[in-house]
Amino acid sequence: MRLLALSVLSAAAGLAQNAAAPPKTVPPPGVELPAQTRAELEAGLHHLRASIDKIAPNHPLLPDLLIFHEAVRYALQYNEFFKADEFAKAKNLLERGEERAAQLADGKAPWTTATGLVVRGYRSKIDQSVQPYGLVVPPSYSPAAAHRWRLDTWFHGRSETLSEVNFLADRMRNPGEFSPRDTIVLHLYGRFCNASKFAGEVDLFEALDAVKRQYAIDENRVIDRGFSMGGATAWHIGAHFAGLWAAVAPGAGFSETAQYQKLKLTGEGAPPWWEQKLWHLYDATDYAANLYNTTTIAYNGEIDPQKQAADMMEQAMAEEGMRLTRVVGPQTAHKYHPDSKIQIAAMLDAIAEAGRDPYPRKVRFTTWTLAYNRMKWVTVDALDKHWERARLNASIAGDSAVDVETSNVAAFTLEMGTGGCPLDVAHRPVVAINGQKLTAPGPFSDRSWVAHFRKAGNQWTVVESAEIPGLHKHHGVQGPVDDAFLDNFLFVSPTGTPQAPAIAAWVKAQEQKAIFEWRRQFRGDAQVRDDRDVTDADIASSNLILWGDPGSNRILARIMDRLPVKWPKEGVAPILIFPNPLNPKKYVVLNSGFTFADYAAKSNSLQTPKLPDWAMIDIATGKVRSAGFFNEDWSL
Amino acid sequence: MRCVLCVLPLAASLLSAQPASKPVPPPGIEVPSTDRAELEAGLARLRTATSKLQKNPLIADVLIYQEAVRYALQYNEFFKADEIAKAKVLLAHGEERAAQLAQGQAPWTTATGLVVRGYISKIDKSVQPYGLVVPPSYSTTAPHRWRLDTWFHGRNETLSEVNFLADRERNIGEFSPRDTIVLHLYGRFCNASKFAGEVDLFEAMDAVKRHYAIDDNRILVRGFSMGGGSAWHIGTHYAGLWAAVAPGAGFSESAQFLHLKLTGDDAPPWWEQKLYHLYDATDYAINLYNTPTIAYNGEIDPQKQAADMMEKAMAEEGLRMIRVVGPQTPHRYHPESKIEIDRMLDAIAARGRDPYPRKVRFTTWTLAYNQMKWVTLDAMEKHWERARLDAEITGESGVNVATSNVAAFTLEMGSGGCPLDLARQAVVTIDGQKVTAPGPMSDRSWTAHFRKDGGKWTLGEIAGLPGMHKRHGLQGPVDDAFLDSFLFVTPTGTPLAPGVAPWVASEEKHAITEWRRQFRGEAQVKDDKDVTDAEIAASNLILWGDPGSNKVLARIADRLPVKWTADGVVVGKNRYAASTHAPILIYPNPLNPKKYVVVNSGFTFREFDYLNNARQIPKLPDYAVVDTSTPPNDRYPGKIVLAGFFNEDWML
Repeated sequence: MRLLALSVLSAAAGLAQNAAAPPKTVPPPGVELPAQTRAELEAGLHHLRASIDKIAPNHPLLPDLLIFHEAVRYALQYNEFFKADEFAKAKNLLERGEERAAQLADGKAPWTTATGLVVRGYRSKIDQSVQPYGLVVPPSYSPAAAHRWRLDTWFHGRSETLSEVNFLADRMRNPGEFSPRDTIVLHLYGRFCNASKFAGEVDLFEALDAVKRQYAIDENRVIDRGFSMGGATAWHIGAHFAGLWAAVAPGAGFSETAQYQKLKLTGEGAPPWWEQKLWHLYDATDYAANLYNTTTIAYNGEIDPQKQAADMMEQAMAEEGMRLTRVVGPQTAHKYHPDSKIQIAAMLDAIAEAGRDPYPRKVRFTTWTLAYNRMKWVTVDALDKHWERARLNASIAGDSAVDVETSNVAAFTLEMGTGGCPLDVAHRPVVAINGQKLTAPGPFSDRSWVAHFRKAGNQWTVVESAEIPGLHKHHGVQGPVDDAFLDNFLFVSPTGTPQAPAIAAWVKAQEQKAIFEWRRQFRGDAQVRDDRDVTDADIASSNLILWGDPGSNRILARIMDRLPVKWPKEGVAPILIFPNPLNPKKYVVLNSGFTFADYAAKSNSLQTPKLPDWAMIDIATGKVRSAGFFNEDWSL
Repeated sequence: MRCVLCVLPLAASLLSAQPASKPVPPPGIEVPSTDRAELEAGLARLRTATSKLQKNPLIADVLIYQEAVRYALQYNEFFKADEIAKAKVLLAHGEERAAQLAQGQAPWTTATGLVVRGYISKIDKSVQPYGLVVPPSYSTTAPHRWRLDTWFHGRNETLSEVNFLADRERNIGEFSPRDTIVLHLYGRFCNASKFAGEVDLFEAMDAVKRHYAIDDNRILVRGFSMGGGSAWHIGTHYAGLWAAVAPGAGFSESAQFLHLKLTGDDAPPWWEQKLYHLYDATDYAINLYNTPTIAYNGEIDPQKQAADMMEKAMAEEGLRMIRVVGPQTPHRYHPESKIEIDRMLDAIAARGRDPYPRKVRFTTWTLAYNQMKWVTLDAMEKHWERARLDAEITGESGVNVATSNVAAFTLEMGSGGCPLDLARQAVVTIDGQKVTAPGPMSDRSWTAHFRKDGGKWTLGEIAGLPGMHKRHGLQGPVDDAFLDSFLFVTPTGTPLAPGVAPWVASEEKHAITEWRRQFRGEAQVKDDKDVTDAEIAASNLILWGDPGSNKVLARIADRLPVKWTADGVVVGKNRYAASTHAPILIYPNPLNPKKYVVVNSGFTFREFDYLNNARQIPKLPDYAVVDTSTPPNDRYPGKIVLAGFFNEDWML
């Protein structure tokens, strides 16, 4: 199931290139591989596969070997050697893979305790692909030390040829921009070049989990850093997940789409309304208030046009009453000034020393979607309306008092983990929500506290659970279409008779393009299965991407009458995302992969969702006839 | 002074005089003569080696092996054939350490993994063992203070020293958190860490702190089954000391757990019921205000009762107990629950204990337990009734205190600990009454004493009340004398009450035997004529005999509140015939009022009570009169015709 036959992929590639005929592809086509080099690499790859196969398939360290195998396989299979010097890099990677395979077969894994530059990998929940990451492990590191380590995450800049081969080769040679004392630096691959949005964002959390499994990381000293495209990433990750970081330190980059791209928002050529709405998913400026909950230091060169990112954030933060600290490299273009690096390091060291407070007395949170619904001890469980701004500010107002101000929030939870709650353990706290006083359950004896609140009309009440009965948008099940590709997903191919043959051809082309682009942009082989082979286990564990119509796809046939759209007339195909009626904890998507594929070759700032929750596509032109969002209860 | 050996052959015949309860520990198996000879030869070799090392500060780490094997041989405590091989291994380990010490080396002091060690107890000079799990990250030179998890074992009637040490050299135990030293307590056998078992915790912790850099703010209390009972007890009574308390299963009080009828003919006597307030964790539930607490039980374990009772007791104080429940699990940990508990405790330990929190809530029923964080009770209005003291820093110079059943108390914060303004006097509001106290010292420490005079609170110069008064460590009941250095004083003179002399002799022998069996040490025993001033200064004196037969008792008899002459035993207005009655009492030693004298009693629970740890509680109060014409049985030393507590001034 995991790998499509090579022939199919090549066909897909050809089809996509012929159909879309883009002037430029990202990544670009590779260089020609001399036959002898190819033979040598293929033999090496084959040998490495055999060496790896000798190790137990469930060995937890297997991804640390497979990264080398997959890097070379991709480059060979998908024509991704971009320069001649990459052949030697690939050979070296194969050797490194063999070396680790031999060590592991011998029951050893010296790289797990090594200091310096270490490349490792994990297997992703999304598509079972092996994803690489690089570490800089400080000389002071010892697996036996009774110490928890500061972790700096680093997001790389845009490189259209940053194949796995190039990433790994670089991560084995280059200590990177910053390597602070007594700090592990995590260099993310981020699934290539998407500014850590979509599956690139998930890569951060999967890689963080992998690092935390292998190294004793101090949860209160994790820092978010990057430059250029990585600076944009740092703004995005910093603002959306501010509660997790000891500090956020973006350099250059972008922080929103419209201004950075100088887009015309009205009139002819303006992006459709839903696309503009969906900028609220990633625009860091929209989430500026969240930086209240961490410490932020922006950097840019004085003469770098990308100072625009910090300008935009400075303005957005000022609107929230906050003053952005900026370090500016004097007369510096798109790079770090050496003096600025020293200054930033001194500031971040001081901040890391103080560390993150996971349970501060005050939290300020804004969001536009339940995809981002948590800040420190505050979780938004339901919105009045998606893609409008919601706010929730909470503060501990006394030994047994909490004040909460909300807007556009329909339900929320206050939750402090074991040991975290400062409220008096012998009293029930009074929670004042928008002035309305409620008596909530008190903290538990482990100093944890959980209380759920829900709005009925304008009245807030204390409720037993965060779950709202019935179908309702909630965290992880809120759309849009692209959201289905942030967790384990399965492409379900049709095998039956289509209702309309014209649709069948369009569907087939779309599916092939989706598979091809997933590999190219998100660096994994999509899991694909025929409709008749889908198991209950698949339904339980995966978002199902259903291709076809109720005639051709038997899974779609089973659920069609429980979807909020009727199958349209001929010539039109629906795209939608909806909680799977067979398992409402997961999605079904009809006839779409991720939605920005046609923009992938352009600026990273244009990598935003291009479709909302549903759309009707004219299959002749590929144009969107109509599109929209479902309501909060997933109705039209 | 270690003269009990000669008495021991009598032990069996004495026991047979007691009505039968199943003996705990049970009798051992026969040791084949070749094994016995080999073990005795090995023991002799080890003794020779240790005799040359008596002054070495690490000698206890060797003596644990010697004493374990000696006890098993001497007291018939090999319970299964495989323990003979274990004993041989222990002797070999002992010899190895002795040889290392003789070379000036002690590699086990820096070892990681399973390490067994020992200390010499202040109570009876016995060597007590403890087990450690030292984490791989441990290093003697690391600039780090280590988290310490204490672990209390479950009930095991054959947990001899041989079995404990063998297990602690092999078994990693239920939990071994990262970067944490786990202290497995022997707890002097099987008493749920009450009485001398409780003292074992503090003596073992002191030993560990002498040898390892322990973080005082990251000490956790954990245990399962009987050890869960220990964790509830130690957790509630000493809540201020722990970063977290995590009991699993066990029991948390006596009466409900034992389904006792508290009224009617078979009800336990009133003083026994009063004394439930000594150990019942439920009575001390509010103290868990001062430490995070996580209870565990299997969903289908009858011992969930312990957490049920605590949950209710805590709810009555406004506290919500958090409980991890092992799904469909009987009397053990569910693997997923273990992960969950560890996750929670790691989070708590990471934050650590706050030794000087803004608020303290404290309850007690006796000055035996009189301290919580920065609050110390120095005197009560009435023992064995609930006392409370809640204290709160209310501002830069303001402290609010609410008390009940408290006659004197101290507020004390150590160097660096006081948040009050240094340049001002403190205003302490006690039960609504404002008292101006001295401000903090320049090291940010603060001490202030308060006492109640006719309902009015005043500042005191010293802690507590002047004159003879019940105070911490000198408050009874009888069993309290066995929590610190004690000396049995055997009579050698002519009894003035010859009628009870055989009872006295038999009770002394019983006390010596059972101290060894239940509390795993050999009681220090001395004839009355040999007692020195140094012993009077250093020890609680357990005086056997009467003012005629016991010289020490003769010296103090007229200063005790219970009079004993040839005419009878007189307690207030009550007089009992001297021919058939003997007094039992505890009282500050008139020759050294910082220590106790006890007359004619060892620890007070007996064979019937060994069968269930919830029954191991004091059976006598401060004084009693025993009718010895009723022979001792497995519950009482005779018929108790009168018993009671002295008042707060040690008067009748």
